[in-house]
Amino acid sequence: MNDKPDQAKIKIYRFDPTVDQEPRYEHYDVPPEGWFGLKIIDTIRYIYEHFAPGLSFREPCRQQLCGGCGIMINKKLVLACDALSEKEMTIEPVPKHRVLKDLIVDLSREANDGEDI
Amino acid sequence: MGTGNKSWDEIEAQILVIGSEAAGAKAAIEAQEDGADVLIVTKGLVGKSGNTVMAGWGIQAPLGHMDPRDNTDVFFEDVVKGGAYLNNQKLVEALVRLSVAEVPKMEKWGARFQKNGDKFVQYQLPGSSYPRTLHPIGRHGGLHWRKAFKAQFRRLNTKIMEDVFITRLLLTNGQVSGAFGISLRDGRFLVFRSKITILATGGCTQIFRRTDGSIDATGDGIILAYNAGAELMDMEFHQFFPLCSYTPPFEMSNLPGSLRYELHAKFYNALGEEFMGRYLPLSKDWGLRDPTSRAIYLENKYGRGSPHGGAYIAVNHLPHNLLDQWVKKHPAGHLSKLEKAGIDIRKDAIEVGPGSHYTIGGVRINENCESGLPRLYAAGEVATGMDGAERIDGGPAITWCLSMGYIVGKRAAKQIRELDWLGIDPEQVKEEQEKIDLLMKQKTGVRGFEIKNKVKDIMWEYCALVRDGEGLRKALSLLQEMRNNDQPRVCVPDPSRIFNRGLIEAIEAANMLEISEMTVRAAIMREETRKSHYRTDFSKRDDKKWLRNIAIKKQDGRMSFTTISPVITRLRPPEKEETEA
Repeated sequence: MNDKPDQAKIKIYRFDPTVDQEPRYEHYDVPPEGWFGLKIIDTIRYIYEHFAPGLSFREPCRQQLCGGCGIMINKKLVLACDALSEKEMTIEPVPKHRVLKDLIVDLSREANDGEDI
Repeated sequence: MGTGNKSWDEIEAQILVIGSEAAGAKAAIEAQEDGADVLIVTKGLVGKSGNTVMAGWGIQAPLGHMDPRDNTDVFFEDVVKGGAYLNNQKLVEALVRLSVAEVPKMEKWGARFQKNGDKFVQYQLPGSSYPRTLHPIGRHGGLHWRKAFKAQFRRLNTKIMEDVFITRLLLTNGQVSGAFGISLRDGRFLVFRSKITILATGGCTQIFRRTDGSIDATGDGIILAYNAGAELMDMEFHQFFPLCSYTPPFEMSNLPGSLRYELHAKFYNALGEEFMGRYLPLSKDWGLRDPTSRAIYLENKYGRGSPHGGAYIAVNHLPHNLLDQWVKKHPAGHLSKLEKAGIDIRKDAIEVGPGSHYTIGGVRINENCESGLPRLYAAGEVATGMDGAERIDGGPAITWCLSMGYIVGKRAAKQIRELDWLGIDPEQVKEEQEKIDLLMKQKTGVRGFEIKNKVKDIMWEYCALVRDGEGLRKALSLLQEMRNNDQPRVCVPDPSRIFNRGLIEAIEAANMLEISEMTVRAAIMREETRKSHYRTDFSKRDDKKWLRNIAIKKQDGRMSFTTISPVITRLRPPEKEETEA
């Protein structure tokens, strides 16, 4: 574990319904400062700030409270503000919802749902 | 919703509520119950944006269930003394009176509280004379508020448009006739036409580097009102919460607060000293939020802080069986975040420190929550007058949202029956569209997040917990430099109109920059120390000169500052008062 961490290979689902026929994946080589020991939400923000200014994502509370940043990492459902970044990640939107853009899905059918506390 | 050949969609609602969380939700629900046609628009998702869902520990009302001596008069006095007499006392009177019915109503709406038979369990927190704070059961209070409001939205079939960013209030003959916004979901421009508009957009906690608030809190509503010509007030006052977890950073939400409020946790510096008494000889570990935050800040300045610029809190002085009982009282998993971080409360301390938590200043309103602009109300954190120079602990923020939401909802529902519709001025709409189109055309330059980061650093360094004239003037010159050099070069690199974060952040950054300048200018003016505003070069409270509010208005495109007398009904500052800043 003493090895200096390498670049992470990160693949992100991209889809803009106004220009894209089909969703696509973009690849980003992220240096350690953008992923090592960071939460996934911070890595997504790093990619947005450094490589992908058009990347759309949600990051409302960053304290695992609101649930707004739910996301798929390597086919597992997590909160981006909770889970730690990995060296190889595929980041995709929450399944079974209409994708509005990139990592943002339509949650409006849940807007008036009750939730467990 | 027909549009003809216009480049925007027009949407009508008798009452337009901007902001979907506690204050906006409450206003909408109360107005709908009286038969009004209401539309809520929100920048994010309902229940997943703003600070209500993050407001964790409690909510207060003087029910007197634990101590019959508590009542609305005592609550009023606590709030006004806590605010060092700069509160609008007529407004506070109205809000505390309503709290007695509106807070327990949350239980009927689906929130669940700790109870003792049919009585609420009430806790006494710093700033309250008697036990007054109701504490929700379960993992986190904010989830109760969200559940309660959503249940009412379902019951009333409330119309809500999510992901709509309002960028301008529209005026007709000097009255607010609606608002202009962008639908983030499809990039359309939207024009809302309303008889009454209610701002419930929250505060601007994001202007400081360290904050435990939502990323959404960029002061948009404050600037909407200001640009439309409404008066702002108390912008020099911002509240810092002393119990943000610094390791892991800003993640424990209300857990350190739980330890303080429920178990009287002790503060320690890096030397193991219980240092609070050094700064707060009267209240010690039980001080209000800003003085407590400031004490932590100063310990760091003297080199006695924790590794990340904070201090420690711990409850390890308490007997283990008492702690075990406390843990048992809470649902399973209550401490899971601490456990995940390797912290055992029987043995370990938590590293905590201050973070920007609540915006005290905002839109100046009267006791009916009316802004100075006809047909514009403001409720919740976006408004000011309820807190004076400091908000007391124990959850009045959500209480204020409920009382203010009730006031504006009921009043608006009544007024719309008498008010005519106003026409929309297409020139204002076109002007705003062009502004946004122009922003979208700038593909290179400075990005919104870069401006935000600079603002946050400047404000944290010079205008947070400890201020002085020299530092404030430095901050002002840095902010003005940004206004001249960075602001005109703001760019939006990506061309998409859908969820364009670059566009959103460019607008938010401009709002933050403007609010920061107001804050700094007002802080320079206020040559005294009063609660959350602490000046080392004017270290005493000066009631002779500064029992005044600072009001800010846009005049000929510039910030114009005046001082006004606070609204005082029955509580004046005594000649001599024992106080800790």
